[in-house]
Amino acid sequence: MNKLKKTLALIATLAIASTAFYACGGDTSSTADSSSEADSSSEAESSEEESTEDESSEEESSEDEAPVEIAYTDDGDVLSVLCWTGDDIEKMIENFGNDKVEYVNVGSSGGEAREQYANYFAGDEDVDLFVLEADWILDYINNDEYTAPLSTLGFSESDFAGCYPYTVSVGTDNNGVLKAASWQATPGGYVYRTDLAEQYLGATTPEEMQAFVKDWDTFTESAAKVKEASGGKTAMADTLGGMWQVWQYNRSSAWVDADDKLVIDDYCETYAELAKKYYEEGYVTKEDQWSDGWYAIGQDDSTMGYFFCTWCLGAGSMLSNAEGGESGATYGKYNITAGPSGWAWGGSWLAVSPKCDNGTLAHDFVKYFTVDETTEKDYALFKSEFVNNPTAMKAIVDDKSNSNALLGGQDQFSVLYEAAATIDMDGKITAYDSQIKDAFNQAVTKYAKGEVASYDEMITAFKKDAAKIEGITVE
Amino acid sequence: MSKKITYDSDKGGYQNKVIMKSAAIYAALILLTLICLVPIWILIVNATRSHNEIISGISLIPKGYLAENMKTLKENSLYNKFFHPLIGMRNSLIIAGLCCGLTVFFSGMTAYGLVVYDFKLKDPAFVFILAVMMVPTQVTAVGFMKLLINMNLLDSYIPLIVPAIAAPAIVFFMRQYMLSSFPLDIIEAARIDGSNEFRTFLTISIPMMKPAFAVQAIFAFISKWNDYYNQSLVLVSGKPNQITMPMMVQKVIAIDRNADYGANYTAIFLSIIPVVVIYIILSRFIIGGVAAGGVKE
Amino acid sequence: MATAAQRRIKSVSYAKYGYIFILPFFIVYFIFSLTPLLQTFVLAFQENGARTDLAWVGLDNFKTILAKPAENDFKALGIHESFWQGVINIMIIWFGNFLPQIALSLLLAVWFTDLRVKMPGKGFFKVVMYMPNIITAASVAGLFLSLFGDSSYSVINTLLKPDEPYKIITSVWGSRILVMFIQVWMWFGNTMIMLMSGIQGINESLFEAAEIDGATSTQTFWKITFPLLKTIMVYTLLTSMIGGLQMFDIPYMLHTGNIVNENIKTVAVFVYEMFHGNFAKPSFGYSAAASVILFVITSILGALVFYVQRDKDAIEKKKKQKQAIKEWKRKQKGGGFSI
Repeated sequence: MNKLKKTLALIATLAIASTAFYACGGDTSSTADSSSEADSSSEAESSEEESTEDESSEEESSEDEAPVEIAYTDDGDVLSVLCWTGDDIEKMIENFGNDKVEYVNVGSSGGEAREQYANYFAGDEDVDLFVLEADWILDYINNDEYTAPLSTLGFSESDFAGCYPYTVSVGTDNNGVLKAASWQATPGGYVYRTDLAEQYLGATTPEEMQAFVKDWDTFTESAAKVKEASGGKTAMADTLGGMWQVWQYNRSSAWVDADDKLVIDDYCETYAELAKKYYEEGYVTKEDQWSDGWYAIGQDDSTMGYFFCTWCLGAGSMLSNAEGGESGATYGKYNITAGPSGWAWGGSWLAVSPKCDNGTLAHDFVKYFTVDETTEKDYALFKSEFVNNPTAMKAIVDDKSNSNALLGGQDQFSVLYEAAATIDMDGKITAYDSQIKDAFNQAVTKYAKGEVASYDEMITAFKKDAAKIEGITVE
Repeated sequence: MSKKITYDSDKGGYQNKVIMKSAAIYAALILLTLICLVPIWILIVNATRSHNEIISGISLIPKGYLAENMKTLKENSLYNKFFHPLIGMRNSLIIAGLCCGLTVFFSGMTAYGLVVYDFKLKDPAFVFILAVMMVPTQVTAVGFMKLLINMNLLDSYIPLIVPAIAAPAIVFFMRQYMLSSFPLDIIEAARIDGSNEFRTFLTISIPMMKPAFAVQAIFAFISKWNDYYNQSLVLVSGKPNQITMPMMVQKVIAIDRNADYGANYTAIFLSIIPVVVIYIILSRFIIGGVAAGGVKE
Repeated sequence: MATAAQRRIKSVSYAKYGYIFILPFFIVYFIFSLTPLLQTFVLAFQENGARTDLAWVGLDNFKTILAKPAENDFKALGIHESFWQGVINIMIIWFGNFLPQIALSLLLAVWFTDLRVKMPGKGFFKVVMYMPNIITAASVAGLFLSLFGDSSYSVINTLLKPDEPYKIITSVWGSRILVMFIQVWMWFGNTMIMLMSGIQGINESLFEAAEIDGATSTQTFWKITFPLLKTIMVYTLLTSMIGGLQMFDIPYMLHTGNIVNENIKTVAVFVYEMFHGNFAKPSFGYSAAASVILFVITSILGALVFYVQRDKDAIEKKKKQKQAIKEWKRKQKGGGFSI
């Protein structure tokens, strides 16, 4: 019996001990973090840099010529780059050609990585750089526990002068500190069927086609023409989801104001009414984006075209699926044009962890990946994806050697190059975007499909849904 | 049974009835079998089709692309960086196998303790087990992760395997099973024969509870094999030689662009094979081996 | 006359073995599962919008979820309404899933264990019926979307070629019935096997005796199988009730795009979404409070199940206890112990 009592006492202690662990969980992680900062033996330096940036984030050009100062040691055995699919990173690492660089798959999707990173950082596994997605980049770059300024790797903002400005502004945190850099820009356009365009609209070149889709009013007129000419068989836009990809980018202001209050403006009504009209008139197909039908409509004349962005156009990508592959009915029968409004879709950024222990290599890798013109150009040609370097992209366009078989040999970069120049996200993205956008899109989709009777009802539903997001206020 | 229907006099009609009934049951079973198998059949068929065939719609006729798809999994760098079916199966087998063994053994033991012995905390212990079974699990993730971080158990198999010892639902099942069909007299008899309590449990009780053990072993094995959620939480760095089959499959499914659906389905197909094999092996115990363990009087 | 062994039995208290046998379970449970579990209850009384250093807010989270909010309080309205929508959905889906599943499983289990029904390939059928359970929920959801999806290219719409494609997934009852069907499809084999093991645990000689006595299948079922299966039935009822109320996977995944279908959104999905939706500012408080409410509902229903089945069991047990006490008293008085 004595033994039993002892064991029970032991259990009790264990239980208490583990609760205690839990209770100070938050503290441990923050102490670990501060100690690792101290380890980097440059606490003073980094805080100094931060303060200069606080004062004026733009005035960094004086540092331009200064030798690179890196706030981290070079003790690490490997440079660990965290991501969720090694897809892009792997190719870059291969080209980079240093065995010390390795990528680590954390989670299998962006959404999973978003949560898993925090757990990963709390452990003592090696982390130097990690990849962030546009939808939730603000979660991490606004938290100094997880991300350090790129200046700690010796970068100043002027180093990224050759990138698309919007990628720099997205990578900048709320205090104006640059925390992440991207290797890609993600402009999109309108990808249309050349044969149907000629048949129904008489457009024979992308330029002629652009005249029929140059803004939303014209796009709607053309949709009516196509509907009539095709006997209602062919819609102008692929799916409500596809239209939304364009519209979600084209807000004039952020979804919440400075006080985190939800902004509902004319834009909401304009898009909701447009979506409803398109759906009811059959200007857009009744398929859902990402459903089986999404690709099928690309092969049977159900749609004139798709709203696709740069990463939808490579071999084996969405466009390829929409054409049914090389043996498909519409293989190579598409062309791309700018479409009714410029837009971008997604994108990934590289950030540096305060725990980085391979400073020099990390600096070199980020530079190679996001700044270096030559390597980015190679990457663009190899992956058939748009990179974050206007000069490199211009060179490719001028060279006229790029041809995309899915687009019947057209060079998609020449169209996307112009679109990319108009991308502007300054002050327009918020930490709540992915959730607000989902809520709004859901409300509009229901309105368009007639599941919600009136616009007012739709807005009320949207407000209730958005208000559930912690941190924003709705009136 | 007071009403006696004599077996002989009614033999012919009785036989006919049995045959009729069997035929009806048979028809119903075939229908159910089809409903159960068609979706799985589609899945398997898709593993034998090419990407373009799959996106053009569903089919019930297998094609000859399986080898091609396997090749894609093996050679395409989109897949072969993390999809190593043999390693994944090995890891999943280790986790699911050990979990299965531990969970069945210790649940049996706990249930045995709760049924066979009388002690003061018996009822509170049982109520506790019932109560924790009913708590929704979605919210426990944060606490679990904090615990693992504090115990330094991330990227370890321990938190995936050891907790299997404490499986409330399985204990509950074993307890109910023992209540319904475990003759306690046999334990008395064993005591008189001088068998100590543990030996009684190991050599007498376990064999008698074979059906319960087999059933729970199957369930435990399959649910642990498919337990993507916990595995992905604990094996946070996704080390290629450490990740499990469902983690690999999930990564395959998550490739949202440039994916080859043929290869995707082949990956899913490969991940199902070991489970089916294990199930068929273990189901023998349920199908055939019951009588062997039971008490014959 | 008591032998030496019997005397030993008499003097030994077996209570300690009870503790020893259940000890491993409790040690492991306390180490790995108790703190995360307790945290659910703690979080329910704490604020939303942060990951660490959470302030206490008393019953506020429960109030927001349960009480009817003001007309213009969109936040409270949103949370209150989607929670209750979840409760309604889960109740409907649970009934439509639970009853057919139990009935089908029981029927099959009896057929398969009936000694008189001789059919070739019994083993094959048993294996097949369980198959749907070995596929992960994600694959199942994907398969059923291509079969019954809203797309005019889904199997059902290509086969039946209606003028307007059937929109099962977006229709209120279509989606609910589909979820019920999938849940039955996935789990009836599991339940069936459990019941079968229960039936097979019943002493075979009882069935043999019944057969020799000429009992019909129906008689055998109601007089032998059902009463003896009762404890396992209680288990089945309780676990499928818990599983049903906490249903998550299929309702969460049965949709195209990235928005969960709200006609099938269960309480567990609500809990999950509030918990994981916003990484920087999570709604742990609401999520945990909803969990606690779900736990309370489950416990009440669970207690009900126990209460209903308790009658005979408990009475018998009490009788035994009384007897034991009597015996013990007799022994105290110095009465002999004999077998």
